[in-house]
Amino acid sequence: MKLMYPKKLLMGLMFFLPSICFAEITWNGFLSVGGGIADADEGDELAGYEDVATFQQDSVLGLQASTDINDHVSVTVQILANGANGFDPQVTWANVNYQFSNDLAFKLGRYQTPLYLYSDFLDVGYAYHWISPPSEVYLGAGSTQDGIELIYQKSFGDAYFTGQFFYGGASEIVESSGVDLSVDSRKRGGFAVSMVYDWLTVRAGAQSTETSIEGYSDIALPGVGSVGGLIATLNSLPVGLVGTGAQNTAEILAFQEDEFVYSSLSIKAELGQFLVVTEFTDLAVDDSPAAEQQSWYVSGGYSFGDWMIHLTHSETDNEAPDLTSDIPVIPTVTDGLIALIDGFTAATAIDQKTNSIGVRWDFTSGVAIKAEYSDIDADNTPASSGNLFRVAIDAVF
Amino acid sequence: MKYLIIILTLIASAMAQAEIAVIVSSDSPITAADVKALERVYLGKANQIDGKDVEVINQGDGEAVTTEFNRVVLNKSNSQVKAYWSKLVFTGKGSPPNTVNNDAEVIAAVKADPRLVGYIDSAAVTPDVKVVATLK
Repeated sequence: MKLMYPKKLLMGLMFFLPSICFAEITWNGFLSVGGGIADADEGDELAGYEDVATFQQDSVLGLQASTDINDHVSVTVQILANGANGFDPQVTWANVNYQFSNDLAFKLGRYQTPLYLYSDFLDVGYAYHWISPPSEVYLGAGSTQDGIELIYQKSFGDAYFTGQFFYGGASEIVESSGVDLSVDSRKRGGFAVSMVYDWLTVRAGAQSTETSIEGYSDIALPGVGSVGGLIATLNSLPVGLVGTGAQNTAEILAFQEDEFVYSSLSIKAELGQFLVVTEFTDLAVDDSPAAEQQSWYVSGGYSFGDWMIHLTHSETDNEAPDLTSDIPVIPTVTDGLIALIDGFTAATAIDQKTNSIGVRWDFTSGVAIKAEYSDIDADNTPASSGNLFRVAIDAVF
Repeated sequence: MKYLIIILTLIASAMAQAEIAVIVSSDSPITAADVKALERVYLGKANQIDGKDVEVINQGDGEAVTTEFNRVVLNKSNSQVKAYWSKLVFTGKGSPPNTVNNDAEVIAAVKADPRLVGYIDSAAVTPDVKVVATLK
């Protein structure tokens, strides 16, 4: 993942630099060093880990500087170096915050999208009990965007309400099937509302985007060369023979301005030494080669002294898009193409379940050591099944 | 007998240490603060007690009084408090209270600013500050 516009943003922030230079800067940071070893049923990789111990996937360093320019305006910049991306530093937060009142704030610039319960602090391992939140829900669910965000936080008696309303866009490079894909999300808007009442937290969120992928046509496909070759082949079929279904499929395969709608609901209970958290997420798409996804997890933990032990079950159920039902089956003309397309779309849908057991030990102030064992069961390729053992040290400073 | 006295003294001092006094300046309009109100202001969920604007100060994690205060008022361990604040700090939603080093610094800070609320070992209370809550 590579962010596209850091230069523009940094130049925008330069505008504020003269005042920052004389203001007091607060530095905060977080660091996670993780390592793991996988025993994959097939192939040699599982969730980014191999059959020898590696130490990059869950390792991350974040540095945050913030300063109050006056009573209402503050500036925050966060730089993140993620081991999964070869520690290539990225600007994940860079925004100007205007505090209208004690309850209401407005952010302009770059911020982490509050898609799901743990999304906007996904890299801060110290803030939660796992080494990383369940991948069935959180793989790709931590993303930064450029835009505006309104934050409303207020106590109503014993209940505490937080509402986040955001609108913006993001552009990132994702490597998939050996091709660099430029994923462009526009009109990315949504909300997250949460209510904390004593031991109970309830949160709901939704987000919609218009997603286009440049480079998608470069993905290799047997027989036709690539997705681009498939599109050309479909468009070359005579309409008199196959109708307009083939052309519609070709248009969908272009992956342009596809509407993605994400929604989620989570409940967290922190009762004395017990923690229970569950979250349900849904991704709905229309006329897109992307799969629809329904995912959820439930996690329970028990704390004693500086130790916590926890169990988690997580699942994702994907539904591959049907891009071929409108193409008539004509032997030697369309039957091979239909099989090719169905095989391609089926590979985007992954059904996976994971059971994990883990411990967290807060061995000194601001530093936690964690260990986690996961049994991953994926129904279909390209995901793999197997066992994963990971350890991590998480710190905040 | 000598040892018994020493042990009793130690127990007594340990018990005395377990008592926390929440203090404000003698100029503060606040007369009493309940645990719920203290929890809200110490978790950054409110900045008023009884309708009066306040700002709170903490003591370091290494102080016994901090551990006790976090347990009794916030119902959290020190690391849970730290995890709570790191979530807010790194999402730009809030920042933890300022921290001072010991009871004497809390007293000095509170005396200098009538808006400040702090907590100290109740044995350290001086006559020139006002105790608004005593917690065990």
